[in-house]
Amino acid sequence: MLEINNGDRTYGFLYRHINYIYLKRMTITVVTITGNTININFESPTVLRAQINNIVIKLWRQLATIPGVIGGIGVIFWINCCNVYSHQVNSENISVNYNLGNALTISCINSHEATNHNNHLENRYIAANLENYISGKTKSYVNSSYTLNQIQTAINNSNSGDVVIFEAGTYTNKYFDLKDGVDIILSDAVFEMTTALGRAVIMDGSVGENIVNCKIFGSAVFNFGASTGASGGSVTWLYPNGNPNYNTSWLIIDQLYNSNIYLEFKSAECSKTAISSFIHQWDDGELRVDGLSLYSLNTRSFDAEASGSPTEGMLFDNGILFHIMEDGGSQYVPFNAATDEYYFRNNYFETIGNDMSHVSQLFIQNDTVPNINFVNARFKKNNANGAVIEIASDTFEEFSAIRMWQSEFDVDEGSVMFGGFIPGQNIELYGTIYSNTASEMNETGTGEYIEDAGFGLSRPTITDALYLMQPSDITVEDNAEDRTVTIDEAANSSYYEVYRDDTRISGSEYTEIHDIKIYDVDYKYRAVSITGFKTIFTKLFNIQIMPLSNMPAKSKYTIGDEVYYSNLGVITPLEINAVFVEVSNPNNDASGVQTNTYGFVDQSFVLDESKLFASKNSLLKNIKGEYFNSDLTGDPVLLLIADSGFDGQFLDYGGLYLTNNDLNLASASFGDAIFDDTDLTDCTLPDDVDTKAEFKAAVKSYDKVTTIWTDGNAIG
Amino acid sequence: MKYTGTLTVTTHQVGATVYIIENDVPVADTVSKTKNYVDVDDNEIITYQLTNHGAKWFPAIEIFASKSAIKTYFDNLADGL
Repeated sequence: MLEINNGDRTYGFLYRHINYIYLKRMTITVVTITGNTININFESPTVLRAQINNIVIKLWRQLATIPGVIGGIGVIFWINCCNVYSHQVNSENISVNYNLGNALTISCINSHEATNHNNHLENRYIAANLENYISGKTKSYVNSSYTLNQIQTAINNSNSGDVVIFEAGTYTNKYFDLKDGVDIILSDAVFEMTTALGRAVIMDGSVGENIVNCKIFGSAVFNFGASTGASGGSVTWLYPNGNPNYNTSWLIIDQLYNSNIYLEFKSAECSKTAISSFIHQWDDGELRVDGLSLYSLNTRSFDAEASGSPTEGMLFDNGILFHIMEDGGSQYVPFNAATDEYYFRNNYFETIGNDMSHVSQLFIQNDTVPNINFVNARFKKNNANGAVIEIASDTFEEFSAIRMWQSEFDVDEGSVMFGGFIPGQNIELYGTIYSNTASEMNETGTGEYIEDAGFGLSRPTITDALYLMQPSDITVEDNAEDRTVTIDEAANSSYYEVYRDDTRISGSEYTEIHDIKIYDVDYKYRAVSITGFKTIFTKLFNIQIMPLSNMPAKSKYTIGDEVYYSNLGVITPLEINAVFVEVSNPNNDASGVQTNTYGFVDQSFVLDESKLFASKNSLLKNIKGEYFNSDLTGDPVLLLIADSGFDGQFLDYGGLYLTNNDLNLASASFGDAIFDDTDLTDCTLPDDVDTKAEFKAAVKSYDKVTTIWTDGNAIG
Repeated sequence: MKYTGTLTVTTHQVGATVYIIENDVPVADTVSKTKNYVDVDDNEIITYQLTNHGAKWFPAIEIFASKSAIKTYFDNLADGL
C-alpha cells in the first residue's frame, strides 16, 4: 500500500488502485481506478518533498512523469503505467485511457512538448506491460555462460521485431552491440566489468555506422571496477577513432550514431576516479534512459557531445532517480554539442567534496538552441565553488527554453545559476522552486521562486522500487475438508512462488494452495512475471481456524451409571465412578473430536465409551451385529407384542426391532426401560411419552444414534 | 444412558487464543485440547493443553481469555489482600 502522510494524517492506497497522481503547488492528488479523487494538502514543503520522494522511489518502475498545466498552474503528473490501456497525443494534449476508471487529458506547454512527453510515456507503458509487448515476438535467450560471440550472434541473428532476453546472472566483462529493430530485455542481469576493455557495455556502432532504433528493458546492474579506468583497451572498435587505445570501459552505453534508443536499468556503480561518464551520446540521435541510481566518486552521469558542426535532432531524456558523486563531478549538458532537447525527470543530483575541476552540477555549453525541462529535479551541491547550473558564455546562444517544474536547490556556496545569459533570457518556472541561495535567473512562468527558503535537501534512502506486480491480500477458505488459500491475481504476473517456512512448495500458475497446515507454519508468496521479475514477498501469514464452540457435549454415561462391557466374551457389569472427556481438533474442522472415557468402581482400567453398553441386550446386539428378531439374511422381522401390552418386568428392549408395535405400557415402566439399539419406527407410544423430549426424560437409557424414533430416524 | 451428567462447556474452546503467565510475562498461545474430569463425588476439573506448550495440562485458573482478564484477576487478588 502506498502511504502518503501530510503531517496531519496518513492516506493509504493500494498500489494497483492508483491510476495517476499529480502535484499542483502544495497538493498531491491521487486518482484511483474507481474514479475517486483524493486531494492531500500540505503545509510543510519538507514534508511534501519527503512524500514525493516516497511516491517516486516506490513506483519508479511503473511511472511515467509528465509536466502539464491545469488552470494555468504548472502540474506534474505521475502516471501508473500498469493501469494504462492506451495513450495518444493530439496537438498539445496527451490522452491517457485506463483499464478501469476515467481517462486523463494532460495539457502540455505546446504540441512539441506533448509529442516528446508522449514518447516518454510510450516507453514507460511498454516497460510496465512487457509481457504484452513481447507476446508473439520471436525471442532468443542468452545467459551468463554464453561467450561474447554467442551473445552477439543471438542479437545479429535476430530480425527487426524480435527480442533477445538476457537471463538473470552475472555477465563478467561481457558487452554487445545493438541491432536495428531488435529489443533487449536485460532481466536481472549484473554486468561486472573488471578490466579496461576499451568500449562500453552497450554500443550502437562499434563495428561502424550502425543506426539503431531499439529499446532495452530490465533491472540490470552495472558495476565498473577500479581497473576499468586504466588506460588503454583490449577491444578494437572502429569509431570514432579506430583507436584501440581509446578507452570507454566505464560506460553503460555509448551511442555514436543517429540512433533512437531507450534504456531502462536499475543501477550502476563505478569505483574508479578520473573517468568520463556512465552514459555517452555522440552526434545526433535520441537517447532516453530510466533507472534508479548512478553512484561514483566523480563520474559524470552523462556526457553529450557532437562530432563537429552543430546539427539538430539530438535528444536526451534522463529519468534516472539518483545521481551521486562523492568527490565532486558534474554532468555535461551538453559539451560542445548540438543537443536540442533535454528532459530531466525526478532526478536527485548530489555532489560532495571539493574537486575543483568540477565546479558545477550541470554544465551547459551549447551551439544551438536547446530546450531543457527540469521536472521534479533536486540539486544538492556541497562543493564550495561554482553553481549548480553553469552556462558557458563563450559559445552560448539563446536557449529556446529552460523550464523548471517543482524543483529544489540546496547549495552550500555558490549560486544556483550563473553564466552568460542573453539579456532577457527567461527561466520559466512552474510550481514552486525552493532554494537556500540566490540565483541569477530571470524568472517567468506561473510558478514562484523562493530564495533563502531554509529548505535543506538530504539524500533519500535509495531502496528497491516496488516491482510491477503487487502481491495482493489473500483469502483463506475453510471448507472443512481442504483448507484453501486463494491468491488474487497480480497484474503482469505469470506464476506464483509459495513458500512454507522458507521452503518453496510451489511455483506454478495456480492461485490456490490446498491442504494448508495451520498454527506454527509461516507462509509467504510472491508473483513472478514472464521475464523473471519477482515481486517482493508478501508478509508472512499463517492460517488460523475459528475456535470450536459449545464443547464438550454431554457424555452418554455419568457417575453412578451401571454399564456393561464384553470382557473376553463375558458380559461384565461395571459402575462408573469417573468421567474423562477430551476435546481436540486434529482435522481443523468446525466440529472437532470428543473422546469420552470412564473409570469404574473397583477397577484400575478405563474404557472408551464405544466399549460400553447400557444393557446386556444392547451389548449382545452389538456382538451379533443385527437385531435379535432378524431372519437368516440379517434383515429384521416384525415382532408384534400381544394386545395385553408389555410385561412391565421386561425392561431391556435393547437390540429389538419393534417397528409397528403398540407400546402401550404404563409410563412408569418406561422409567426403568432401556431402549439402546431399539427400532421404534411407526410405534404407538403412550401420550405422556410420545414426544422425543418426553421419551428421553422418561426412559432409563437411550442412545442418540442407535435408538430409532417413531419417524424412522435416530432419536438424536 | 441419558447424557445428563455433570459436564460443563469449557470457558476456552479448542482453537481460541488465550494467555498464560510464563516467567512473569503474559504469553499468548492457542488451546489445542480441553479435558473435563468428573470424579465419583461429581466434582469437575477442567484443564487445557496449549499449542506451544507440549503435553502440559494447564489448570483453568492459569488460563486467561485476554490481557485485560489478566489485569482483572490480579487486581482482584490485590484487592483481597
